[in-house]
Amino acid sequence: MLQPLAQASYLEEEQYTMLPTKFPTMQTTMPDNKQFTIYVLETMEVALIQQSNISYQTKLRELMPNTEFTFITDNAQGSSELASELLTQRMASNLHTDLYVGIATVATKALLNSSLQNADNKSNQAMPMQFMVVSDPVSVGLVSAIGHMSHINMTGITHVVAAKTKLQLLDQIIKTPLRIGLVYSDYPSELTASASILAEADVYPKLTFIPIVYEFASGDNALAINRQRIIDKLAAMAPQIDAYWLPPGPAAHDLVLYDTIQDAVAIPQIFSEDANVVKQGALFGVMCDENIIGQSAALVAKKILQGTPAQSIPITESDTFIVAININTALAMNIVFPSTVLSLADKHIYR
Amino acid sequence: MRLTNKLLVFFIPILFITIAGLSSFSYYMSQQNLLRQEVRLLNIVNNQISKSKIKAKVNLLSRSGLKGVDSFESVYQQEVFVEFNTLKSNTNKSFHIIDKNTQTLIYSTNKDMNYQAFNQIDWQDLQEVSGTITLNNESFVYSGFHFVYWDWQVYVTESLTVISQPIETLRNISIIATICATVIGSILIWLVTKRIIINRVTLLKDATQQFSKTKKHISNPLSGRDELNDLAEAMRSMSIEIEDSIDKIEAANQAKTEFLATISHEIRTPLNGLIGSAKLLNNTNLDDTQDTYVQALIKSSQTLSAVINDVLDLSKIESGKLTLERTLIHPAELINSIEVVFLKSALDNNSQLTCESNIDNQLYLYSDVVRLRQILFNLVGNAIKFTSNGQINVHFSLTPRAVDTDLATHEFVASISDTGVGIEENRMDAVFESFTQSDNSTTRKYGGTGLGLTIVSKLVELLQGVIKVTSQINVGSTFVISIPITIEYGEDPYTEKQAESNLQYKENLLILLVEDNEINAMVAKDMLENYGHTIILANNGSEALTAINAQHFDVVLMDIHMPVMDGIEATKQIRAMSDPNISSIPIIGLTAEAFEARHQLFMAVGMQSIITKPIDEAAMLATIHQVVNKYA
Repeated sequence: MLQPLAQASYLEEEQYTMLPTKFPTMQTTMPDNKQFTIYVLETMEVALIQQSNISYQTKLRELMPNTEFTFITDNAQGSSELASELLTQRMASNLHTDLYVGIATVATKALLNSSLQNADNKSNQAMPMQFMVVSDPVSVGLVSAIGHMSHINMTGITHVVAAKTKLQLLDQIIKTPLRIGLVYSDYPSELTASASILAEADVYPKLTFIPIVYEFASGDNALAINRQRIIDKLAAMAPQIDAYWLPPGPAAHDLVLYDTIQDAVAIPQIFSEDANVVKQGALFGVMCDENIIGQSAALVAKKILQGTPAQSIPITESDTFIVAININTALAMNIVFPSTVLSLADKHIYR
Repeated sequence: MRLTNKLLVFFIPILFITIAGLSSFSYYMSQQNLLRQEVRLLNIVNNQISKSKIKAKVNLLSRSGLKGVDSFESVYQQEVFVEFNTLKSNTNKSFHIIDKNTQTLIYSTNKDMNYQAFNQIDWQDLQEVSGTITLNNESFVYSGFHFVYWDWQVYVTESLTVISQPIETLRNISIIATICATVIGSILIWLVTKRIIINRVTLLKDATQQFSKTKKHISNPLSGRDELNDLAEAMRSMSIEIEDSIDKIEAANQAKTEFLATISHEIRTPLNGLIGSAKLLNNTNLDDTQDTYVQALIKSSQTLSAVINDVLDLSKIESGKLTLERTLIHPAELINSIEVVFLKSALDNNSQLTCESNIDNQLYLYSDVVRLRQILFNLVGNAIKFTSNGQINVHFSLTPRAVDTDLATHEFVASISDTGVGIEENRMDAVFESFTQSDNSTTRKYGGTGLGLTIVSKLVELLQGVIKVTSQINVGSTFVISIPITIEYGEDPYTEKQAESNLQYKENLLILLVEDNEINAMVAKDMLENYGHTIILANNGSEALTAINAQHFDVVLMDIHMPVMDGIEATKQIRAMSDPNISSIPIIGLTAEAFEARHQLFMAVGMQSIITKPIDEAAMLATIHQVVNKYA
């Protein structure tokens, strides 16, 4: 029986009934009582990643109730090397795997590299792969453009909302000029997303984005290192900014980071990619939450497990988002959300 | 006005009023309907759209836990205003929000709105109101509801002028359509009416005119089964009856004419003998007693002759067979003739007759002299008859006519006044009626048939004149006739008359008298022989031809009705003779017939003149000498 997620989104009821009709089920063509083994490589310990994985597994079981699933999950701790090593071990183990899943950019990149390295090995090359929580599949090298098929046997749905959408919403919310510190590192997704934001920002005269770049740390204690680096940068730039923005990446989903920043510099976070962070105090966010990510990925996985080559499934953007807002932050900032934004937020209004 | 035009004159206003009335009623109903629909629409707009927009904001605040947060409520109220602005653009209706508490306008899509009128609306604890309102001197339809949470009275209004615009267009179209429909309807009705009524009435009229012209019955010119056809049938039946009646009347008229002609001839012929013999007898030696008897005989026969003449004249007038023959006469001749005839009669009554005329001596009157003289003789005769030891005055005058018609340039006015017995006032009009005199005692005392004035009035009417009478008992009467007349200038007739009188009546004429009646022949022969003429008798037309071929005559007196050969045939044969000395011989007809048509016939066959019986000696002599002088 399907267990509801701890943090339910407004999609929970609708989508559970809606999703099965979105994609044609292949259960009628495939016999029941199948067994599938799915290897999941998580990039790091980030709530969004773990929760997306849980949502994915739950939804897949729901979609294929007569199928026995074995999920093998590894975590790369944010390290590309570890990610590659874990993947190689898995592949070398000759343990049967029906589907490889990478969650977040590092893990997905490891899958990509593995596929490229094993180009001559036809059996490995043919191994179906899927990604989740990758903000920019194009820059990662998975596909030439969103909506196209990958050149390798991989597919997936990007969870990141376009920068234009985010800035449009922000422009509706903010009535007075705002200086926003855009905090990002060289982490691929952060780099790509920041570039998009900065490119779009010129259209919005009220919004002034000030890049605040830090060096991304990986490996042991990477989270703490990265947090401090961010705080240091914000503290240095505090007089020049009114708020800060974290683009999609590891920092965006670090729930401890927000409280730490507030304690240190008390600068409001204007936007977050993570609803949990909005709940903590970021003014607003537009995102696919873990339920949307997991459920949409489960639908793709079902297709692959039912025989559709992953390569034949185009890599697309998610068409389902949530808007989350924080009332307390708005009141503190003397901001009134327009009713359109408020109604979009619906059940994701936090205070 | 022709019936066609009458129909149009009536149809057009009736149609116009009817169609205009219907159009006006439709316009009014449309307007009312439109107003009701607009109010309904405004209610929908306000209660469903406006209210839903406001409620959505409040519900959102409520769901978001932001109800009561002033900043959010204020911003969301502004959002309502913005949405109302958009709504105004989309619906062309105006929106206004009044704070119910403070009765102030907090929003309006019309900035210049004088909203005070809204405060006059009595909500009566209702949550919704609607109706019409005057704002800024303009009428509006409105709908309003009370939004309790913000204590707003939300109104939506629409100008009646805007609402009425489509029906104003409709009204203008209706006006044009009304006019067109009236014109077209009138034309169609006219065409239909013309076809089914007027044309058929025209056919009936033509048939009636044809009947009037030909006096022959008409056939039914119509077809179909309707009232007009019934009328046509009735007219056809009537024409048949009228034709029968006309035939009968004409037959009766013809019979009367023949009767009168016969009677005229049968009475006047022996009467001619009677009068003539009496006059001849009067010219012999008689003792006193014989003389008295002869005078009585003469007077009685003259009276009988006058009566017969009157009856025949009246008959001729009433049957329309009396034709006028206009000639020139000098007023002095008329006066002279009156004096000649009536001077002695007046003196016999110890009365004085004076005749005068103030008409220019060089003027001749152009009229029917015979009838004019008849009129004057009747009036003068009556005046003398009813006046003893009195005065009779005859006066002629001429006045220019005000309007020249029928070339009559003047009015001949003759006044005959007397100092006789007079006429009672209540009998004034009756004296002109046939066989009516002033009173019955008049007939006993004065005699007469009572036809004289009747004939006078009809002759005056025939001459297109008028006759008037004024009278007073024992004072006298005045008869005035006024007859349209034309005049000509000429020499004083008396000089001509004298010249004429210098023309000696020829003597020793050889006259052929063609007469089958022995008495009439004897009378005429004796009369003429007294004047030195030689008379040869012939009993019929055949003997006349023999006599004419045997010797030359100066003139022939030809009776009409004779055995063997009548006067008409004899005249024709004489005129057809090859010898011009014979064929051109003057012929005078002798007839007792009184009708002009017959006289015309006699003239047409070749007679130069006609002497009517009973023969007047002087008239006969004058006619003989006139004809001989002219045609011999």
